Amino acid sequence: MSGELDGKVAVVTGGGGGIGEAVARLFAAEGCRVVVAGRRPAPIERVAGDIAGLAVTADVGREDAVAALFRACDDAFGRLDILVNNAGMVPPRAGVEDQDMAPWDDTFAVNVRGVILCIKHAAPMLKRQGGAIVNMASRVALHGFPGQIPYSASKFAVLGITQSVAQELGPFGVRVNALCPSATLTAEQRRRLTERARDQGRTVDEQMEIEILSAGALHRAIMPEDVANASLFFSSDRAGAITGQHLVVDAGRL
Amino acid sequence: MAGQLDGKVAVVTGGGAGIGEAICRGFAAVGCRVVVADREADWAASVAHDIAGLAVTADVTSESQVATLFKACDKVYGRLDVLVNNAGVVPSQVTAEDMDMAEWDQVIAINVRGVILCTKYGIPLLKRAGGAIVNMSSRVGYHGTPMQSHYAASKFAVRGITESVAHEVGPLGIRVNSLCPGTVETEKLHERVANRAKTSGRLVEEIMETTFIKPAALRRTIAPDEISQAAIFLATDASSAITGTHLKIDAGRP
Repeated sequence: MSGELDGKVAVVTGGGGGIGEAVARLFAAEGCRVVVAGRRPAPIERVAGDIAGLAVTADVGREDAVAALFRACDDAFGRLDILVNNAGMVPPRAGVEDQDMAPWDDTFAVNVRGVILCIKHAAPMLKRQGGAIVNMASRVALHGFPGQIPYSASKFAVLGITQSVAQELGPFGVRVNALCPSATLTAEQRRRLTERARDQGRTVDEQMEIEILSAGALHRAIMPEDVANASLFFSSDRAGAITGQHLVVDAGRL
Repeated sequence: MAGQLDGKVAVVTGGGAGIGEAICRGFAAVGCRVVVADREADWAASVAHDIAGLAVTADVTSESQVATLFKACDKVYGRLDVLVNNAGVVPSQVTAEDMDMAEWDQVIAINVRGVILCTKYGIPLLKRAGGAIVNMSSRVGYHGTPMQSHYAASKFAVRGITESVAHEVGPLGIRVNSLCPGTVETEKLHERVANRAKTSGRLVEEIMETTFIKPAALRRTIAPDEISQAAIFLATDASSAITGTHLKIDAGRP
């Protein structure tokens, strides 16, 4: 598998941890030069340092920051082949009557506005020689989940963007696909799981069994590397005929 | 990419031509030993010869022949890791009111009964060490198209089988997914389009352009090898968290 992305350049948003970090590391291992973008400098500098990539601090919800991100990519590498729109946030759980509109707006700013802003500013570069966009949606983009209304709505929107933009950019040789992972066992997810275990008076192992393991036919958690492998597939020529699609990575949930 | 399926054994039905042949050759190129199953003895023999595989003549609608196919695989290789249920037929276009029920029964027999028979006899071998099943559905397994009610019904059914069996055999370490190709450039496709041109008085090029190429975002058809690449992804550990799902490979049809 070595060198599948030799000579390519990728921008990975939210690249300082979790799924984004796994994507950045796998892409680099396949020969890709990676721009690791994120809101906080320390995590992206750590990842970029490890993979000889470029760290760019950027809030994807702000257009000037996004424009600067892609300018930095062009200045440093002179091209862009792959955009992984991974930056996203999971707001605190709340019922419909308790929706606080501040986290709602934050969620849409990052998860939806952030995706379209990055596509808007990446498209001119991707169109030069063709390329691929991978949007991180979620299993809740297909099945709404109680207590996660803004998150679910934002990820449905990501699939809407994916299908629309795939039609628009297809004639330019730019493919656009989405991944729909179920809860992925990142450090952040472990933290939330631990909190919920405490709230419900369970051990972390019990909570893991109930929420994650027993929910899937394969009785296993989704790891960031699983999502990175699927991102690599969608970004590579192996998926050259695939656009406008989404792939569910959920260990077989009902 | 070499060696991704080193040491593995696959059964590919309908392996003598078209997409199945491409899958046999693609799997062999990454180290897999392949049982090439086909109704046409000469076709199976020719592909198996090229890839040092095992040719087995089998009609997937016959339970005894399917049983013999998997017995042959076990006898020769002593294991089974991947089953690709590719054998299928694309019937001639016909309206519901003109449906010839003998043809209907045959489409369902090959495309649906064949899949469940091979799954039934493949699972006892697959569950020894875990493995993967890749079912060939179709874009028409999502979107019924006019005058293809028999084909659409059969390919929707394949997705139903995929989801049901995935949940059943997930705990045994067997993953089940389906591929949903759009217009793949096989000899059979060219035959069908030539026939359609003859009966409608249209040009082959014009049918290809308006029916298949223009509606696709990437403005192209799909090569058999591109289906093979996706099958390899679903057969390998790179997709070990993916089961019960479907991937469309259709160059971006809306």
